[in-house]
Amino acid sequence: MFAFPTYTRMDSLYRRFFTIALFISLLFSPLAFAKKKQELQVVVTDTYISMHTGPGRGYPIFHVLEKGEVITLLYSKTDWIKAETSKGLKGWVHRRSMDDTVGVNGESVELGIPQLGDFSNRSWEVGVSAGEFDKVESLGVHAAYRLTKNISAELRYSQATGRFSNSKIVSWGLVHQPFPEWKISPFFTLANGQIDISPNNNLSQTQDQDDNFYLIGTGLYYYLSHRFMVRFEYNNYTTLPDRNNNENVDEWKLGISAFF
Amino acid sequence: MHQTFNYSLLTLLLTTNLLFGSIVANAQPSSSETDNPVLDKIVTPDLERRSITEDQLDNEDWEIGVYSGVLSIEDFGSNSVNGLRLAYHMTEDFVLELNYGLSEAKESSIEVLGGGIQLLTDDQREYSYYNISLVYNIFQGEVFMGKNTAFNSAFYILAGGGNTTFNENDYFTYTIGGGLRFYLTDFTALHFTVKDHIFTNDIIEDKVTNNLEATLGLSFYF
Repeated sequence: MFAFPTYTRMDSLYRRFFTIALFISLLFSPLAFAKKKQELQVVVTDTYISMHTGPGRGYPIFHVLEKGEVITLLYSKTDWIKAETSKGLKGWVHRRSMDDTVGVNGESVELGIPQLGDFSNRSWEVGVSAGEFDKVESLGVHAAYRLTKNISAELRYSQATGRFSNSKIVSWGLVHQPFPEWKISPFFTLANGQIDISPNNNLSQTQDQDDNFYLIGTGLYYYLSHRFMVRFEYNNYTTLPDRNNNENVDEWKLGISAFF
Repeated sequence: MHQTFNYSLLTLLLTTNLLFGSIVANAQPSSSETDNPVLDKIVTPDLERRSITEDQLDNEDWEIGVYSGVLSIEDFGSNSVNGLRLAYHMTEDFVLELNYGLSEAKESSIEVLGGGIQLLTDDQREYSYYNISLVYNIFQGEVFMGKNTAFNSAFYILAGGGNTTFNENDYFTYTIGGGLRFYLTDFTALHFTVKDHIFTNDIIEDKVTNNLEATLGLSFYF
């Protein structure tokens, strides 16, 4: 089951596969092993805090922290923080219960769940989306960096796989969001980029095609919770296949974005 | 007419780009506080009002892993499959997962029984896929071993989309499935996953194919 096929023609694919694996692991290994050494100690000022056996609301409560108790915060998983008592007991406490704690030296504790207010102060946004490009199913990723309160620079990549051809689309441009503090917030896009269209192999007469385009788009962000937004958008592409003529292509996408 | 429109719009785009580029380039931090560093050092009391923030706490929301198992490619036998998994745990309930996998199709029954018939060349038998799935942890809990050892676990369901490269062609692919995530520690997990990769192809006839995959994987959190 774990043996890799011995076919030589697969070697190049597997080499690529392991190169990607190696690259990713190299990229993340410093993050994985650079554990923070400093001790984060806080004092419980709430009446009590429940300690769960796992990072989820359904895991049983096996211990209750009392007011005045000093705990060490170890690491977090989503909304839960692994904490250790002075007696060495380890368990998970909810982030919300950290609202009523202070550091041992009187520091304020800011480990709450990100809110809509943080959403309008974000600097990075990354997301994935699915939709239709020219009536063909497509999948995409995007990353944006906020330049001002309202304007972000954005890079996008998507792939639309149809019955007759396969398009890879890269674009870069600006996104203007006039009211970032609204829970449902509209945005407008102006971008340019390149589309690479390759035909399916059973239609070998047609050639690979590279086109430049610009696009005008609009859409809506809907704030979900934490650091997440639903993003719906519509884009109109104007491709410039040759000098005398241009083509208009519609795209709509529904996706999810996270801000950091 | 169209030409003029195109170029005016492109010019507009370029101007906006340049305009914002210059705004960003010219943005300077205000220098009101750092005028006299020596005096500041004497006057500012040693009491530092610190706060404990997210940056000081390690999060373990990202997961990276490998998996291996069996992929049944419709009409083309059961084949070994190897893959990579990158996942982001958004909340305690939802996970966003990216997968990339590789396999290779065996001969179909037609090719085995039909004498000299060959449907696919060797290169066309290469099968690779990627997909992005939304995972929902439907049953979370603890499983125990004996009296004193308990492990955290989650049974999850997932749905997503992606792309399959097979027959030297790309096919848009829907993925549905489920699995069990078994936490060995807070930083490592075992996965047992079953998925169905659904896409339409016309290799034998024009039809929707179901390609079932069962894998065992190991993941690390960082």
